[in-house]
Amino acid sequence: MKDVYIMAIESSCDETSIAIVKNGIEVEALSVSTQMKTHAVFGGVVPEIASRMHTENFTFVLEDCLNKSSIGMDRIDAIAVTYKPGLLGSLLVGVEFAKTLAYVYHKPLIKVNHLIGHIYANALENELKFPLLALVVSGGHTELVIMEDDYKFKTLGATLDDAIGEAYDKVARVLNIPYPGGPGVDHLASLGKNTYQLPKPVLDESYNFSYSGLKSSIINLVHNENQRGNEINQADLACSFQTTAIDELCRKLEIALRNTGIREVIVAGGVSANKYLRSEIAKTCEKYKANLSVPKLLYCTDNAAMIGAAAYPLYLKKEFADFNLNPESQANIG
Amino acid sequence: MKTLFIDTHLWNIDIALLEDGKIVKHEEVIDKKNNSEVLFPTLIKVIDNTTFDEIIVVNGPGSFTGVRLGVIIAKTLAYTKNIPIKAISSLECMAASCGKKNVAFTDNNGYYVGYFDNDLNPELYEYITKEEFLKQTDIETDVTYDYEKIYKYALAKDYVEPHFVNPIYIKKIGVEK
Repeated sequence: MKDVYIMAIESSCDETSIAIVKNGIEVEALSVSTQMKTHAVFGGVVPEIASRMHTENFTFVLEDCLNKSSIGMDRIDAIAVTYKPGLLGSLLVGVEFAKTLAYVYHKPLIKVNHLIGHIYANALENELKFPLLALVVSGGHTELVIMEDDYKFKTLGATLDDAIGEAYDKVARVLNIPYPGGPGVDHLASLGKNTYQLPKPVLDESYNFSYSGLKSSIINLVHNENQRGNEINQADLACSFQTTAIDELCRKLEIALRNTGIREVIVAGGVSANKYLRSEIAKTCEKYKANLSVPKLLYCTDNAAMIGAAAYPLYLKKEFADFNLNPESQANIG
Repeated sequence: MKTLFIDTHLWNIDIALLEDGKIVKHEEVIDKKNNSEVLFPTLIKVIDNTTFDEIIVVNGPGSFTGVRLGVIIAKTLAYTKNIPIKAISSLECMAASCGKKNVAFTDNNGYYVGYFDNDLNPELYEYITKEEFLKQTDIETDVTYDYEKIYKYALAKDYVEPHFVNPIYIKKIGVEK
Protein backbone atom coordinates (compact mmCIF):
# COMPACT_ATOMS: atom_id res chain seq x y z
CA MET A 1 0.00 0.00 0.00
CA LYS A 2 1.09 3.53 -0.75
CA ASP A 3 2.43 5.51 2.22
CA VAL A 4 0.02 8.10 3.61
CA TYR A 5 1.38 11.46 4.77
CA ILE A 6 -0.89 13.63 6.88
CA MET A 7 -0.08 17.22 7.80
CA ALA A 8 -1.63 17.94 11.19
CA ILE A 9 -2.42 21.26 12.87
CA GLU A 10 -2.86 21.78 16.64
CA SER A 11 -3.78 25.05 18.41
CA SER A 12 -6.30 24.12 21.12
CA CYS A 13 -4.45 25.86 23.96
CA ASP A 14 -1.07 27.59 24.14
CA GLU A 15 1.00 25.50 21.72
CA THR A 16 1.08 26.24 17.99
CA SER A 17 2.10 22.98 16.35
CA ILE A 18 2.32 21.40 12.91
CA ALA A 19 3.47 17.87 12.12
CA ILE A 20 3.79 15.56 9.15
CA VAL A 21 2.97 11.97 10.13
CA LYS A 22 3.50 8.91 7.94
CA ASN A 23 0.89 6.12 8.09
CA GLY A 24 -0.33 7.31 11.49
CA ILE A 25 2.72 5.94 13.29
CA GLU A 26 5.89 7.66 12.13
CA VAL A 27 6.69 11.32 12.77
CA GLU A 28 8.28 12.73 9.65
CA ALA A 29 8.52 16.26 11.07
CA LEU A 30 7.20 18.08 14.13
CA SER A 31 7.31 21.76 14.91
CA VAL A 32 5.99 23.17 18.19
CA SER A 33 5.97 26.81 19.22
CA THR A 34 5.09 27.07 22.90
CA GLN A 35 3.75 30.23 24.53
CA MET A 36 4.41 28.93 28.03
CA LYS A 37 6.79 31.74 29.06
CA THR A 38 4.34 34.43 27.90
CA HIS A 39 1.47 33.01 29.93
CA ALA A 40 3.64 32.23 32.97
CA VAL A 41 3.72 35.98 33.68
CA PHE A 42 -0.07 35.86 34.26
CA GLY A 43 -0.04 32.59 36.23
CA GLY A 44 -2.06 30.74 33.61
CA VAL A 45 -3.12 30.78 29.97
CA VAL A 46 -4.80 34.05 28.90
CA PRO A 47 -7.14 32.93 26.07
CA GLU A 48 -7.05 36.20 24.11
CA ILE A 49 -3.23 36.28 24.15
CA ALA A 50 -3.10 32.62 23.10
CA SER A 51 -5.29 33.38 20.05
CA ARG A 52 -3.11 36.36 19.13
CA MET A 53 0.07 34.34 19.29
CA HIS A 54 -1.35 31.52 17.15
CA THR A 55 -2.17 34.14 14.48
CA GLU A 56 1.39 35.48 14.63
CA ASN A 57 3.05 32.05 14.68
CA PHE A 58 1.31 29.74 12.24
CA THR A 59 3.13 30.60 8.99
CA PHE A 60 6.48 30.47 10.82
CA VAL A 61 5.64 27.06 12.28
CA LEU A 62 4.60 25.82 8.82
CA GLU A 63 7.91 27.02 7.35
CA ASP A 64 9.83 25.33 10.16
CA CYS A 65 7.92 22.05 9.79
CA LEU A 66 8.47 21.94 6.01
CA ASN A 67 12.16 22.76 6.48
CA LYS A 68 12.49 19.78 8.84
CA SER A 69 10.77 17.43 6.40
CA SER A 70 11.93 15.73 3.24
CA ILE A 71 8.24 15.61 2.24
CA GLY A 72 6.89 18.60 0.35
CA MET A 73 3.26 19.74 0.18
CA ASP A 74 2.79 17.81 -3.08
CA ARG A 75 3.28 14.50 -1.21
CA ILE A 76 0.80 15.35 1.56
CA ASP A 77 -2.44 13.32 1.35
CA ALA A 78 -4.60 15.26 3.82
CA ILE A 79 -4.69 18.18 6.25
CA ALA A 80 -5.85 17.28 9.79
CA VAL A 81 -6.82 19.80 12.44
CA THR A 82 -7.86 19.80 16.10
CA TYR A 83 -11.43 21.15 16.24
CA LYS A 84 -12.43 20.27 19.84
CA PRO A 85 -12.12 20.60 22.81
CA GLY A 86 -10.08 23.66 23.77
CA LEU A 87 -10.04 27.45 23.86
CA LEU A 88 -12.51 28.51 21.19
CA GLY A 89 -10.52 31.52 19.96
CA SER A 90 -7.38 29.40 19.61
CA LEU A 91 -9.18 26.54 17.86
CA LEU A 92 -10.75 29.01 15.40
CA VAL A 93 -7.35 30.25 14.23
CA GLY A 94 -6.07 26.70 13.69
CA VAL A 95 -9.23 25.58 11.89
CA GLU A 96 -9.23 28.54 9.45
CA PHE A 97 -5.49 28.08 8.87
CA ALA A 98 -6.06 24.38 8.11
CA LYS A 99 -8.96 25.16 5.75
CA THR A 100 -6.72 27.57 3.84
CA LEU A 101 -4.00 24.91 3.42
CA ALA A 102 -6.58 22.29 2.35
CA TYR A 103 -8.05 24.71 -0.20
CA VAL A 104 -4.77 25.97 -1.64
CA TYR A 105 -3.20 22.51 -2.00
CA HIS A 106 -6.45 20.65 -2.90
CA LYS A 107 -6.21 18.23 0.04
CA PRO A 108 -9.05 16.67 2.04
CA LEU A 109 -9.61 18.16 5.49
CA ILE A 110 -9.86 15.87 8.56
CA LYS A 111 -11.28 17.06 11.89
CA VAL A 112 -9.73 15.54 15.00
CA ASN A 113 -10.84 15.45 18.65
CA HIS A 114 -7.89 16.60 20.75
CA LEU A 115 -8.58 14.00 23.49
CA ILE A 116 -8.54 11.19 20.96
CA GLY A 117 -5.30 12.73 19.73
CA HIS A 118 -3.78 12.23 23.19
CA ILE A 119 -4.82 8.55 23.07
CA TYR A 120 -3.27 8.10 19.61
CA ALA A 121 -0.01 9.68 20.82
CA ASN A 122 0.63 6.11 21.95
CA ALA A 123 0.42 4.85 18.36
CA LEU A 124 3.60 6.85 17.68
CA GLU A 125 5.40 4.58 20.17
CA ASN A 126 3.74 1.17 20.10
CA GLU A 127 1.13 -0.51 17.97
CA LEU A 128 -2.29 -0.17 19.64
CA LYS A 129 -3.57 -3.66 20.47
CA PHE A 130 -7.32 -3.87 20.99
CA PRO A 131 -9.19 -4.19 23.25
CA LEU A 132 -7.29 -1.82 25.52
CA LEU A 133 -7.89 0.28 28.61
CA ALA A 134 -7.12 3.97 28.15
CA LEU A 135 -6.58 6.23 31.14
CA VAL A 136 -6.97 9.83 29.99
CA VAL A 137 -5.55 12.37 32.43
CA SER A 138 -5.35 16.07 31.59
CA GLY A 139 -6.26 19.56 32.75
CA GLY A 140 -9.84 19.06 31.62
CA HIS A 141 -10.39 15.30 31.71
CA THR A 142 -9.97 12.25 33.91
CA GLU A 143 -11.50 9.23 32.21
CA LEU A 144 -11.14 5.49 32.06
CA VAL A 145 -12.16 4.17 28.66
CA ILE A 146 -12.28 0.80 26.92
CA MET A 147 -11.20 0.97 23.31
CA GLU A 148 -12.43 -2.02 21.32
CA ASP A 149 -11.05 -0.88 17.99
CA ASP A 150 -9.98 2.31 16.22
CA TYR A 151 -12.47 4.99 17.26
CA LYS A 152 -14.63 2.51 19.21
CA PHE A 153 -14.80 3.89 22.75
CA LYS A 154 -16.77 2.81 25.80
CA THR A 155 -16.39 5.09 28.81
CA LEU A 156 -16.16 3.17 32.09
CA GLY A 157 -15.96 6.21 34.31
CA ALA A 158 -14.98 9.85 34.47
CA THR A 159 -14.47 12.58 37.02
CA LEU A 160 -17.62 13.75 38.74
CA ASP A 161 -16.18 17.23 39.28
CA ASP A 162 -12.61 18.50 38.73
CA ALA A 163 -10.07 16.88 36.45
CA ILE A 164 -6.83 15.66 38.03
CA GLY A 165 -4.79 18.26 36.09
CA GLU A 166 -7.01 21.02 37.41
CA ALA A 167 -6.34 19.83 40.99
CA TYR A 168 -2.58 19.90 40.25
CA ASP A 169 -2.85 23.49 38.95
CA LYS A 170 -4.78 24.65 42.04
CA VAL A 171 -2.40 22.94 44.46
CA ALA A 172 0.55 24.48 42.60
CA ARG A 173 -1.07 27.87 43.04
CA VAL A 174 -1.55 27.59 46.82
CA LEU A 175 2.02 26.31 47.13
CA ASN A 176 3.24 29.28 45.02
CA ILE A 177 4.67 27.05 42.32
CA PRO A 178 4.84 29.00 39.03
CA TYR A 179 2.75 28.05 35.96
CA PRO A 180 2.68 25.37 34.62
CA GLY A 181 2.28 23.89 38.08
CA GLY A 182 2.06 20.16 37.34
CA PRO A 183 5.77 19.44 36.81
CA GLY A 184 6.60 21.67 39.80
CA VAL A 185 4.29 19.74 42.15
CA ASP A 186 5.70 16.46 40.81
CA HIS A 187 9.26 17.61 41.52
CA LEU A 188 8.48 19.02 44.97
CA ALA A 189 6.60 15.83 45.89
CA SER A 190 9.67 13.75 45.06
CA LEU A 191 11.52 15.63 47.84
CA GLY A 192 8.86 15.06 50.51
CA LYS A 193 7.06 12.38 52.48
CA ASN A 194 3.42 11.37 52.59
CA THR A 195 2.68 12.76 56.08
CA TYR A 196 -0.51 14.83 55.75
CA GLN A 197 -3.85 13.10 56.24
CA LEU A 198 -5.98 14.02 53.23
CA PRO A 199 -9.45 12.77 52.27
CA LYS A 200 -9.51 9.92 49.78
CA PRO A 201 -11.30 10.99 46.56
CA VAL A 202 -14.04 8.35 45.99
CA LEU A 203 -14.00 5.34 48.20
CA ASP A 204 -16.27 3.17 46.11
CA GLU A 205 -15.86 0.43 43.54
CA SER A 206 -17.18 2.52 40.62
CA TYR A 207 -14.93 3.79 37.85
CA ASN A 208 -15.66 7.43 38.65
CA PHE A 209 -13.17 9.94 39.98
CA SER A 210 -13.48 13.07 42.10
CA TYR A 211 -10.76 15.62 42.74
CA SER A 212 -12.60 18.67 44.00
CA GLY A 213 -12.74 17.47 47.63
CA LEU A 214 -9.03 16.73 47.68
CA LYS A 215 -8.28 20.11 46.09
CA SER A 216 -10.46 21.99 48.61
CA SER A 217 -8.96 20.15 51.57
CA ILE A 218 -5.48 21.33 50.54
CA ILE A 219 -6.65 24.92 50.06
CA ASN A 220 -8.32 24.83 53.50
CA LEU A 221 -5.34 23.18 55.15
CA VAL A 222 -2.93 25.81 53.81
CA HIS A 223 -5.32 28.60 54.77
CA ASN A 224 -5.83 27.30 58.33
CA GLU A 225 -2.14 26.71 58.97
CA ASN A 226 -1.36 30.22 57.68
CA GLN A 227 -4.03 31.66 60.04
CA ARG A 228 -2.46 29.85 62.97
CA GLY A 229 0.97 31.00 61.96
CA ASN A 230 2.14 27.41 61.47
CA GLU A 231 4.63 26.63 58.79
CA ILE A 232 3.70 24.13 56.11
CA ASN A 233 6.12 21.51 54.94
CA GLN A 234 5.55 22.19 51.24
CA ALA A 235 7.34 19.10 49.97
CA ASP A 236 5.43 16.83 52.36
CA LEU A 237 2.12 18.40 51.41
CA ALA A 238 2.90 18.07 47.69
CA CYS A 239 3.87 14.44 48.26
CA SER A 240 0.73 13.72 50.29
CA PHE A 241 -1.46 15.29 47.58
CA GLN A 242 0.29 13.50 44.74
CA THR A 243 0.20 10.13 46.50
CA THR A 244 -3.53 10.45 47.20
CA ALA A 245 -4.37 11.69 43.69
CA ILE A 246 -2.35 9.10 41.77
CA ASP A 247 -3.11 6.17 44.06
CA GLU A 248 -6.77 6.71 43.30
CA LEU A 249 -6.05 6.48 39.55
CA CYS A 250 -4.18 3.22 40.13
CA ARG A 251 -6.93 1.82 42.32
CA LYS A 252 -9.56 2.45 39.63
CA LEU A 253 -7.31 1.07 36.91
CA GLU A 254 -6.80 -2.04 39.04
CA ILE A 255 -10.58 -2.54 39.37
CA ALA A 256 -10.86 -2.27 35.60
CA LEU A 257 -8.02 -4.74 35.00
CA ARG A 258 -9.68 -7.19 37.39
CA ASN A 259 -13.23 -6.83 36.01
CA THR A 260 -12.55 -6.62 32.27
CA GLY A 261 -9.67 -9.02 31.91
CA ILE A 262 -8.12 -6.62 29.39
CA ARG A 263 -4.31 -6.65 29.55
CA GLU A 264 -3.39 -3.73 27.30
CA VAL A 265 -3.17 -0.32 29.02
CA ILE A 266 -2.37 3.09 27.62
CA VAL A 267 -2.08 6.42 29.42
CA ALA A 268 -2.88 9.66 27.61
CA GLY A 269 -3.07 13.39 28.28
CA GLY A 270 -0.81 16.07 29.73
CA VAL A 271 -0.68 14.54 33.23
CA SER A 272 0.83 11.36 31.74
CA ALA A 273 4.14 13.29 31.84
CA ASN A 274 4.01 13.00 35.65
CA LYS A 275 6.91 10.83 36.86
CA TYR A 276 5.16 9.38 39.93
CA LEU A 277 2.11 8.50 37.82
CA ARG A 278 4.30 6.73 35.26
CA SER A 279 6.05 4.61 37.90
CA GLU A 280 2.90 3.77 39.90
CA ILE A 281 0.81 2.83 36.84
CA ALA A 282 3.73 0.64 35.72
CA LYS A 283 3.63 -1.19 39.07
CA THR A 284 -0.14 -1.75 38.79
CA CYS A 285 0.23 -3.11 35.26
CA GLU A 286 3.10 -5.36 36.31
CA LYS A 287 0.94 -6.86 39.05
CA TYR A 288 -1.61 -7.92 36.42
CA LYS A 289 1.00 -8.74 33.77
CA ALA A 290 -0.58 -6.10 31.52
CA ASN A 291 1.29 -4.33 28.73
CA LEU A 292 1.62 -0.62 29.39
CA SER A 293 2.13 2.15 26.84
CA VAL A 294 2.89 5.72 27.92
CA PRO A 295 3.81 8.34 25.31
CA LYS A 296 7.31 9.74 25.45
CA LEU A 297 7.41 13.14 27.14
CA LEU A 298 7.47 15.06 23.86
CA TYR A 299 4.11 13.55 22.91
CA CYS A 300 2.47 13.87 26.35
CA THR A 301 2.05 17.62 26.07
CA ASP A 302 0.01 19.20 23.27
CA ASN A 303 1.53 18.52 19.87
CA ALA A 304 0.37 18.05 16.28
CA ALA A 305 2.03 14.63 15.79
CA MET A 306 -0.66 12.95 17.90
CA ILE A 307 -3.32 14.71 15.81
CA GLY A 308 -1.74 13.24 12.69
CA ALA A 309 -1.79 9.77 14.29
CA ALA A 310 -5.47 10.13 15.28
CA ALA A 311 -6.35 11.39 11.78
CA TYR A 312 -4.99 8.30 10.04
CA PRO A 313 -7.92 5.90 10.78
CA LEU A 314 -10.30 8.70 9.66
CA TYR A 315 -8.31 9.11 6.44
CA LEU A 316 -8.64 5.38 5.73
CA LYS A 317 -12.41 5.63 6.31
CA LYS A 318 -12.51 8.79 4.14
CA GLU A 319 -14.18 10.75 6.93
CA PHE A 320 -13.48 14.22 5.61
CA ALA A 321 -14.72 17.58 6.86
CA ASP A 322 -16.24 20.46 4.89
CA PHE A 323 -15.08 24.05 4.65
CA ASN A 324 -17.87 25.06 7.05
CA LEU A 325 -16.16 23.15 9.90
CA ASN A 326 -16.73 24.97 13.18
CA PRO A 327 -14.69 24.30 16.34
CA GLU A 328 -16.28 23.41 19.70
CA SER A 329 -14.88 24.27 23.11
CA GLN A 330 -16.33 21.23 24.91
CA ALA A 331 -16.02 17.57 23.98
CA ASN A 332 -15.77 14.08 25.35
CA ILE A 333 -14.00 11.06 23.96
CA GLY A 334 -15.99 9.37 21.24
CA MET B 1 -4.31 44.16 -11.59
CA LYS B 2 -6.70 41.82 -9.76
CA THR B 3 -7.05 42.33 -6.01
CA LEU B 4 -8.63 40.09 -3.39
CA PHE B 5 -10.06 42.30 -0.64
CA ILE B 6 -10.91 40.67 2.71
CA ASP B 7 -12.61 42.50 5.56
CA THR B 8 -13.99 40.80 8.69
CA HIS B 9 -13.32 43.56 11.20
CA LEU B 10 -16.80 43.65 12.73
CA TRP B 11 -17.60 39.99 12.12
CA ASN B 12 -19.50 40.99 9.01
CA ILE B 13 -17.90 39.20 6.12
CA ASP B 14 -16.96 41.44 3.19
CA ILE B 15 -14.94 39.76 0.45
CA ALA B 16 -14.46 41.32 -2.95
CA LEU B 17 -12.50 40.71 -6.11
CA LEU B 18 -11.43 43.99 -7.69
CA GLU B 19 -9.96 44.66 -11.09
CA ASP B 20 -7.99 47.91 -11.01
CA GLY B 21 -10.18 48.91 -8.10
CA LYS B 22 -13.51 48.10 -9.71
CA ILE B 23 -15.68 45.36 -8.23
CA VAL B 24 -15.78 42.16 -10.28
CA LYS B 25 -17.25 39.90 -7.57
CA HIS B 26 -18.55 40.76 -4.13
CA GLU B 27 -19.91 38.64 -1.27
CA GLU B 28 -21.23 40.06 1.98
CA VAL B 29 -22.59 38.23 5.03
CA ILE B 30 -24.16 40.19 7.85
CA ASP B 31 -24.97 37.60 10.48
CA LYS B 32 -23.15 37.45 13.76
CA LYS B 33 -24.24 33.94 14.72
CA ASN B 34 -22.33 31.48 12.58
CA ASN B 35 -19.79 33.54 10.69
CA SER B 36 -16.95 31.12 11.39
CA GLU B 37 -18.96 28.51 9.50
CA VAL B 38 -19.70 30.70 6.50
CA LEU B 39 -16.43 32.69 6.27
CA PHE B 40 -14.41 30.19 4.26
CA PRO B 41 -17.29 29.06 1.98
CA THR B 42 -17.93 32.76 1.27
CA LEU B 43 -14.28 33.27 0.33
CA ILE B 44 -14.46 30.26 -1.99
CA LYS B 45 -17.46 31.79 -3.79
CA VAL B 46 -15.28 34.79 -4.67
CA ILE B 47 -11.96 33.11 -5.50
CA ASP B 48 -12.93 29.77 -7.06
CA ASN B 49 -12.00 29.49 -10.75
CA THR B 50 -10.23 32.81 -10.78
CA THR B 51 -6.80 34.23 -10.06
CA PHE B 52 -5.64 37.37 -8.28
CA ASP B 53 -2.38 39.29 -8.20
CA GLU B 54 -2.48 40.76 -4.71
CA ILE B 55 -4.36 40.61 -1.41
CA ILE B 56 -5.54 43.55 0.67
CA VAL B 57 -6.66 42.53 4.15
CA VAL B 58 -8.30 44.73 6.75
CA ASN B 59 -6.27 44.04 9.89
CA GLY B 60 -8.46 45.84 12.43
CA PRO B 61 -9.28 47.39 14.72
CA GLY B 62 -12.66 45.80 15.44
CA SER B 63 -13.86 42.41 16.64
CA PHE B 64 -10.73 40.62 17.89
CA THR B 65 -11.86 37.23 16.62
CA GLY B 66 -13.32 38.62 13.40
CA VAL B 67 -10.12 40.42 12.46
CA ARG B 68 -7.98 37.45 13.44
CA LEU B 69 -9.79 35.03 11.15
CA GLY B 70 -9.64 37.39 8.16
CA VAL B 71 -5.93 37.93 8.81
CA ILE B 72 -4.97 34.25 9.32
CA ILE B 73 -6.71 33.27 6.08
CA ALA B 74 -5.26 36.21 4.12
CA LYS B 75 -1.67 35.77 5.31
CA THR B 76 -1.79 31.99 4.79
CA LEU B 77 -3.15 32.47 1.24
CA ALA B 78 -0.39 35.01 0.53
CA TYR B 79 2.33 32.82 2.06
CA THR B 80 1.35 29.55 0.38
CA LYS B 81 0.41 31.00 -3.03
CA ASN B 82 3.31 33.47 -2.98
CA ILE B 83 1.01 36.42 -3.67
CA PRO B 84 1.91 39.91 -2.44
CA ILE B 85 -0.16 41.16 0.49
CA LYS B 86 -0.78 44.49 2.16
CA ALA B 87 -2.77 45.38 5.25
CA ILE B 88 -5.09 48.34 5.65
CA SER B 89 -6.90 49.36 8.81
CA SER B 90 -10.68 49.50 9.07
CA LEU B 91 -10.38 53.20 9.95
CA GLU B 92 -8.21 53.88 6.88
CA CYS B 93 -10.89 52.21 4.73
CA MET B 94 -13.45 54.59 6.21
CA ALA B 95 -11.28 57.73 5.89
CA ALA B 96 -10.40 56.82 2.30
CA SER B 97 -14.06 56.21 1.47
CA CYS B 98 -15.49 59.46 2.88
CA GLY B 99 -12.43 61.71 2.60
CA LYS B 100 -12.90 62.98 6.18
CA LYS B 101 -10.06 63.37 8.70
CA ASN B 102 -11.91 61.95 11.74
CA VAL B 103 -13.80 58.70 11.47
CA ALA B 104 -15.32 56.29 13.99
CA PHE B 105 -17.40 53.17 14.38
CA THR B 106 -18.91 51.38 17.35
CA ASP B 107 -18.64 47.79 18.52
CA ASN B 108 -21.80 48.31 20.62
CA ASN B 109 -19.76 49.03 23.75
CA GLY B 110 -17.49 51.90 22.80
CA TYR B 111 -16.07 53.58 19.73
CA TYR B 112 -12.95 53.03 17.67
CA VAL B 113 -11.83 56.47 16.47
CA GLY B 114 -9.21 57.32 13.85
CA TYR B 115 -7.67 60.78 13.45
CA PHE B 116 -5.94 61.51 10.13
CA ASP B 117 -3.83 64.36 8.72
CA ASN B 118 -4.69 66.41 5.62
CA ASP B 119 -3.30 63.71 3.33
CA LEU B 120 -5.39 61.12 5.22
CA ASN B 121 -2.36 59.50 6.84
CA PRO B 122 -3.35 58.06 10.23
CA GLU B 123 -2.15 60.06 13.23
CA LEU B 124 -3.91 58.34 16.12
CA TYR B 125 -6.27 55.42 16.75
CA GLU B 126 -8.06 55.08 20.06
CA TYR B 127 -10.91 53.22 21.70
CA ILE B 128 -13.20 55.42 23.79
CA THR B 129 -16.42 54.97 25.76
CA LYS B 130 -19.81 56.06 24.43
CA GLU B 131 -19.82 58.96 26.91
CA GLU B 132 -16.42 60.18 25.72
CA PHE B 133 -17.53 59.80 22.11
CA LEU B 134 -20.65 61.92 22.62
CA LYS B 135 -18.44 64.81 23.80
CA GLN B 136 -16.51 64.77 20.49
CA THR B 137 -17.60 66.78 17.47
CA ASP B 138 -16.85 66.52 13.77
CA ILE B 139 -16.35 62.75 13.62
CA GLU B 140 -17.78 60.86 10.68
CA THR B 141 -19.58 57.59 11.54
CA ASP B 142 -21.58 55.04 9.52
CA VAL B 143 -19.19 55.34 6.60
CA THR B 144 -20.05 53.19 3.58
CA TYR B 145 -17.09 51.61 1.85
CA ASP B 146 -16.08 52.94 -1.56
CA TYR B 147 -13.92 50.09 -2.87
CA GLU B 148 -12.35 52.07 -5.65
CA LYS B 149 -11.24 54.81 -3.23
CA ILE B 150 -9.94 52.19 -0.77
CA TYR B 151 -8.00 50.54 -3.62
CA LYS B 152 -6.46 53.87 -4.67
CA TYR B 153 -5.59 54.71 -1.05
CA ALA B 154 -3.88 51.31 -0.69
CA LEU B 155 -1.77 51.91 -3.83
CA ALA B 156 0.55 54.05 -1.70
CA LYS B 157 1.10 51.19 0.76
CA ASP B 158 4.00 48.74 0.55
CA TYR B 159 3.58 44.99 0.40
CA VAL B 160 4.39 43.22 3.66
CA GLU B 161 6.09 39.86 4.22
CA PRO B 162 3.08 37.54 4.95
CA HIS B 163 4.65 36.35 8.24
CA PHE B 164 4.38 39.89 9.57
CA VAL B 165 0.79 40.67 8.59
CA ASN B 166 -0.94 40.78 11.97
CA PRO B 167 -4.04 42.32 13.52
CA ILE B 168 -4.09 45.64 15.31
CA TYR B 169 -6.32 45.58 18.36
CA ILE B 170 -6.20 49.11 19.98
CA LYS B 171 -8.77 48.20 22.68
CA LYS B 172 -7.03 46.98 25.84
CA ILE B 173 -7.83 43.56 27.33
CA GLY B 174 -8.09 42.76 31.05
CA VAL B 175 -4.48 41.74 31.65
CA GLU B 176 -3.14 44.86 29.85
CA LYS B 177 -5.02 47.30 32.07
